[in-house]
Amino acid sequence: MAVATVAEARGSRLSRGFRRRPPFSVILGFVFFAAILFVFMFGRTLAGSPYAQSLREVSKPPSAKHWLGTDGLGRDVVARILAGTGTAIIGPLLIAASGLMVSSLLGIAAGYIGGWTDTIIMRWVDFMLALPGLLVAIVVVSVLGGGYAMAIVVLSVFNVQGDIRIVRGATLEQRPLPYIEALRSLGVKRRKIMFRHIFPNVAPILVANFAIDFALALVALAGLSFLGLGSQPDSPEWGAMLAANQDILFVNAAASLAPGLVIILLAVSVNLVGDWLYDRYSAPERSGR
Amino acid sequence: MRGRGIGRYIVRRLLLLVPIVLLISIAVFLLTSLIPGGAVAALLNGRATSVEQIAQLRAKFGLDKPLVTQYSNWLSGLFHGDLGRSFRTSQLVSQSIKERFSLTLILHGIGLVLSVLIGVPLGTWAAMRRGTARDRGVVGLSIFGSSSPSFVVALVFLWVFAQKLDWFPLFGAGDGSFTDKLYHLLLPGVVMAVAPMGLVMKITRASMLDQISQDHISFARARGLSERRVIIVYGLRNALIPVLTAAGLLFVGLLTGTVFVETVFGLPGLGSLLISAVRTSDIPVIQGLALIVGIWIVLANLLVDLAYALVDPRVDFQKVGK
Repeated sequence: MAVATVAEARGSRLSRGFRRRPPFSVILGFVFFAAILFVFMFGRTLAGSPYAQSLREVSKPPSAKHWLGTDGLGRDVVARILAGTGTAIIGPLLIAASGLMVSSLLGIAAGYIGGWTDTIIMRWVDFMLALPGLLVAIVVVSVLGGGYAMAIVVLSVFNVQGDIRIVRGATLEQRPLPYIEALRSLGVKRRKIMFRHIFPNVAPILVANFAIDFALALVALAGLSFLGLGSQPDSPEWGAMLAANQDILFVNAAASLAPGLVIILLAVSVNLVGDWLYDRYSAPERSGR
Repeated sequence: MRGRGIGRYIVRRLLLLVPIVLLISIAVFLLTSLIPGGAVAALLNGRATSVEQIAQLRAKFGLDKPLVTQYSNWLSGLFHGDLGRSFRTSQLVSQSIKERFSLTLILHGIGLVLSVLIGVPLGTWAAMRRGTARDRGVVGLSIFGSSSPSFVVALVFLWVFAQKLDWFPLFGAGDGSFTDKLYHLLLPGVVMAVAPMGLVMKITRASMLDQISQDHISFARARGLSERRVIIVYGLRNALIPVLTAAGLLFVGLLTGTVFVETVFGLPGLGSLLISAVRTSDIPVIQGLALIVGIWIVLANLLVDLAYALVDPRVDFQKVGK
């Protein structure tokens, strides 16, 4: 029995890389993310205006006309959630994209070149990882201003370090492989080895990082908007809706909780996809992110 | 020989606080000098005043001196335990931090203890049942937990447990007696634990899976030891090392969590102090809090490194840091 478990564990780790079809939950996550993208592109035609007020229907609970009820100013909650997809997605996409670019440059450089380059990059990474990026963003955005754009910049600066560490690890795994040795003995330039040969081999990890960064950034930006930072007052943003409708939590809970649940669902979906990619393409030692 | 050199190690690490505190304070000072209109604008907060009053205010808070002098004044105050006075309330910053510190500490404590007490056993349990429905359930729970923003969880819990079920108070920190305070802080504490619990679960499960396939575990089983003994004594001890590595992340997560949880539950802690300070550009309070956060992080990381020695006998403090 006990021995069988060990064999099982070994066997499934070996076979994991060959299993092509993702589990059902991952497909579900992907479908939800695709649905959000769809709403992002065609949302304006799906629902009414997020600003249209109906003063006779203030803080109403869900009904056939307003599926999630109305907020304190008589605006349809569904329309506001749909209108909020834009701000919810663009920021995290930019943050994840910057993470992907910087980490593929610095992560591969640290892992492949080694030496002082590695030491300097990793010292900086360790230092930044110890700091609470979201707290810094709260202080910087509220003291200096700059709104949503500033929030994206600050969160990007604090996001790349985790990616760099992981890409460096993946590069270190590639380094001792025979194809690298072959390239070096053929006299291929270092830069070419790094970006033409190592890069495609760590690319799946980059994609997984992209997904995980997206989820983290989504939650962080929603948090800033919940605190009233980084958003225009009154604009339909999920975090801000949560905060504004907190007052009518006991009248129409859906107005406050529904945007929150959408944030959670989107973050879970993207994380499911990211984790699955990550487990598939990385050694088990590194999967504990 | 585990304990040797530990005293010197702690002292060396505590000395590290000095450059870090300096670095943080310089960063915050530079930040405040970048405020549009300068600190006086933040001080006035849009109110109209005469030139004399502005000059008076500048003199009162020492803003008429050059930045370097302001900085050295603040620094020398720091050595006397003086962090200046709030722009808004004129209260001593050190005083308001002292008053609110214990609440935040209790929240952190509840969050940390719960996330470890639930996360480690569940992660281990899932690893032992790898591939089953229960395992997938735990994995799902950990993804769900670590993806959920604390302010959403706080609102959901507030609605379910305080409004619908009426188990907990809605608001505030209680009337001051310890049991009442704990009763008021329990629900916020649970909310604090959700995200770190997901992280702990996930890492414990992954590293436990790694341990289970190691030779020393097979050998322990071959010796006929009970499964519980094999897992807890031989597996868990090694499996905890990656959890400890992530503990630094955990502390950072808890720090961020406090801000949101205290805001939603209306608790007078350091997190809500930070929010009210940044909303009104109350620079002395922000500076004081940044300092506390810096010290907090250094101490937390020191604790983590000391805990390594408890779990991993290979750690030798005489070699570390040389």
